[in-house]
Amino acid sequence: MLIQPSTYKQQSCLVEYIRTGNDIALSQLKGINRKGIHYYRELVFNILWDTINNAYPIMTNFLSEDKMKELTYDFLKNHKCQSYKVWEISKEFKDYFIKNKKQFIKKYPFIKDLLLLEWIEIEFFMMKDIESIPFNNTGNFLKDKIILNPEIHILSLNYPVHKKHPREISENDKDNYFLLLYRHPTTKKVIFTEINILTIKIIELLYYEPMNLDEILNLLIKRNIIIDKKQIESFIYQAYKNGIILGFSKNINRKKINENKKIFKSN
Amino acid sequence: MIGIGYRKDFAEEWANKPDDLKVDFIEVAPENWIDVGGYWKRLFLEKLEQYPLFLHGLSLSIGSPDTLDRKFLKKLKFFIKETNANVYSEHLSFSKFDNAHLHDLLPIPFTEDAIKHVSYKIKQVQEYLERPLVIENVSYYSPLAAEMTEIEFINAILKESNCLLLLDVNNVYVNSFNHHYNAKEFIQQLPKDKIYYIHIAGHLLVSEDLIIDTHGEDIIDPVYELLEFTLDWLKKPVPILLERDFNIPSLKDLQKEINQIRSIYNKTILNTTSYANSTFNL
Repeated sequence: MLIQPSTYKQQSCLVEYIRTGNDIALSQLKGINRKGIHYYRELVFNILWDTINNAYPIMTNFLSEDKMKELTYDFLKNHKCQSYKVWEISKEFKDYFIKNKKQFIKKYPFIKDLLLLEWIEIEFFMMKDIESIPFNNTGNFLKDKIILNPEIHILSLNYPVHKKHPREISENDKDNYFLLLYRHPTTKKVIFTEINILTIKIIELLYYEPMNLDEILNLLIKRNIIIDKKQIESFIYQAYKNGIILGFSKNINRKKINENKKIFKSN
Repeated sequence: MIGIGYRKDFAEEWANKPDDLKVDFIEVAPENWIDVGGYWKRLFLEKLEQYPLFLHGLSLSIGSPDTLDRKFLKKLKFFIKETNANVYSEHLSFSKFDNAHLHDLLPIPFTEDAIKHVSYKIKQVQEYLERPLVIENVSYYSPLAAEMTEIEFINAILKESNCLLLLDVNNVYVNSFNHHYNAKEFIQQLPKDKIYYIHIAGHLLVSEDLIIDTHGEDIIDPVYELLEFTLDWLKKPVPILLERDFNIPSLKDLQKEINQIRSIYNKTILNTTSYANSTFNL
């Protein structure tokens, strides 16, 4: 490092003032225009606030803007943002909040789920494309392998934050809720849909290996899962219509499937 | 060549109405597009097929005491290659300290040791990316422990690091107002051969003695005049980019600003030189 300790100290005090508003740090700065230095604190705060406010509109509405601003100042003061991507500040805010704001989580046990839901929508919208294995748009799901949309995720929640405003949620609502989250193959919009255990099992099977309907049924029976063939057929038909299933294939390149799994895990 | 800073805020409108905004190139911050997929990537790729790309970074933090983020540089190098970007520029400022990103452009102390430190880091970046770095003069709202003037600091960095200059005429205007110097005299002291391209933008007068470089307003006439003065003095064709990050107007209104910039460019450069077909690859 070619920077001298005196220059380092000036930069350090400037950053400390911006992050904490500490007047002692401000008083250490040499040759400054105080009004200008105040603006730096405001500008840095505004970047965080704009990002957090846009990422968590329901949480902001629930806790109030003033409370969220207070939390943002606290985040600025105590957290060192690690990502060079501005949009990822929201993820760091979520993680910081969950780790450090236990009193909020105790008072509002659903708030963790709310943060997770609001963040994951952004993450899914922004994330890198995941290439699908080759498929045909038309096929016969009784005979052909069913190709699942690789841009898919199952989210498990304890509170129904996806369908109730936080003010309406009580401890009586505590349960297991499963959401299927996926990026639509055509519009690229992020879609949530609540799903049941049977649907999760089918999606898990298709995620690990494309298969046709008979193969799905056989595997479910082997696992002692009670099935209704008509219900599964209906799910597959709907899933195809909604972009959860992309299409069909007669021949599967196993190498390609494994490559895709690596990509999915790395995200 | 007149370009626009490509922003997500108007990407959808521009995709739907491509004729509402006609430019020669686009510029993005790589940090906002690295590893981005889905809807935004699709729109971005459409524009990449139509326009040359310049990159204008935000997080390199060339002026911070921290060492360079090698993981970021690796991603950046891949992104430059992947997008076939013509230029990579950054800010003469710092935005990271003690391993924490501040996500804003903070002023570097104008000191001798900072010149050595920043120049060393610029050389490292240039060596790694295998291309010259184009460094932008930034707006600053307060000096910090300055031992010399801004122009002395910038010129020393350009000389010592052998990088190029992205001259932001709005930033010169803002700084000349905030720190009471003559903008034209400032520009005339810059080395012409180092000026690679120009940025222009709007700003906000927040009090009688302070302007903030918001990129959220229309360009004011004195800044257009400063652009004309600069091009007249420079006497060489350089790409010019309009930056608009907030309060984004309709594409037609952006086009009006582009047209005004183009008219100044045509008046000062195109009519007096024979560089109409110049290219700007680094």
